[in-house]
Amino acid sequence: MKIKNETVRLVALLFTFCAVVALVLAGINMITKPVIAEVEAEKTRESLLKVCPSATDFAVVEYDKVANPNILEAYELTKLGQTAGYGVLVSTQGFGGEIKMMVGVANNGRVLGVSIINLSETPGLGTKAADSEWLNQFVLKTSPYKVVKGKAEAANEVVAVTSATVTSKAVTAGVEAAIAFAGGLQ
Amino acid sequence: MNKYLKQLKEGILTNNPVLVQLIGMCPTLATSTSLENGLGMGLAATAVLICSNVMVSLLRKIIPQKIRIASYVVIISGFVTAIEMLMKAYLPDLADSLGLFIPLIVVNCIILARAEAFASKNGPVASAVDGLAMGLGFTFALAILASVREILGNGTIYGIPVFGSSFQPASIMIMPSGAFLALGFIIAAFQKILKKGDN
Repeated sequence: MKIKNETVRLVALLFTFCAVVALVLAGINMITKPVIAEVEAEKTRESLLKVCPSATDFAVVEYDKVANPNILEAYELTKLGQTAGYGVLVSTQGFGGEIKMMVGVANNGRVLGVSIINLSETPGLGTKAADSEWLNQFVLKTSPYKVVKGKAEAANEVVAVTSATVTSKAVTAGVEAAIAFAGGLQ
Repeated sequence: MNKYLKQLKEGILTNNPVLVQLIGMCPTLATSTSLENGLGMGLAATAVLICSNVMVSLLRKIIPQKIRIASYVVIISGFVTAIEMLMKAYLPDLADSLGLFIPLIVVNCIILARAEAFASKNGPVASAVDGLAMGLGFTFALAILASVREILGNGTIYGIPVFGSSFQPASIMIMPSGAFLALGFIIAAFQKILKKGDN
């Protein structure tokens, strides 16, 4: 009988600990959720401006989410009332998990800019793919891109980040997906 | 006061969690690719370590012996989740640069080890000092390892180039194998220096 009581007491105590922690976390979540959502929205605006600095206004584009599972959000970028291009938030599978990135695509299919929103690649190796210098390759070069190691020779060759070929290919695939998607919107 | 100074010295030097106790190896090896990452991980872990040590110490008379590990895990993961949410909401820039490491803190066994070995047997003030000391020791070890790896593997320190453009960085140093190599040499050198101090 004593053992049973002991077990019940331990279970009850552990349950209490978990319940208290869960309650506290729920409280913090309730307070921080709207703030985090606001911060995220601000980040989206900033990343849109980053990939298309000349745009003056944005509008959310509605599309078939089931047919385009890796396109998370899409925005129409306008400049003085005319469509300047599209901002496409793409998700792609990297080495360490999902990579979310914003790609600005002009009406003619050229890439206006690429910005990584978040990634969980190997720190110091794959994370270098988020450097604007590296991402600028997509603006300077033309699609269809080809990832190469070392030196780029042709106009469509993108130099992979050293020791992060998987990441480089993933980002490139994301950019291609954005171009294809934006082409279908017109 | 002397007692706390001694704790600090133990945490940073003579009983350094990474270089002497050899715990917390996984985050040490994974996040020491650059000094910035190493410091970020070290300081974030220090904050959690202090909080969890104080909490465990305050609850040490309530938590039964048999379910102590489970209780510590709940407390630690609760703190980490709370810190992650608060940082995302109020310090988004810091959360961005530390984003990867915050969830990693949960699995940092230094935190569990200190809860078990120290905080469950000592008062809250001493436990807070212990958390600070061990956290700084962890940060110190990460900073040394990360500096070595960043300088040799990338030719930079805290993102600033230290060599001319002719320097060919040894990429192996920022890869996992380089982490093991560098850590081995650093531990050897550290032990040698500590031994000298004793004589």
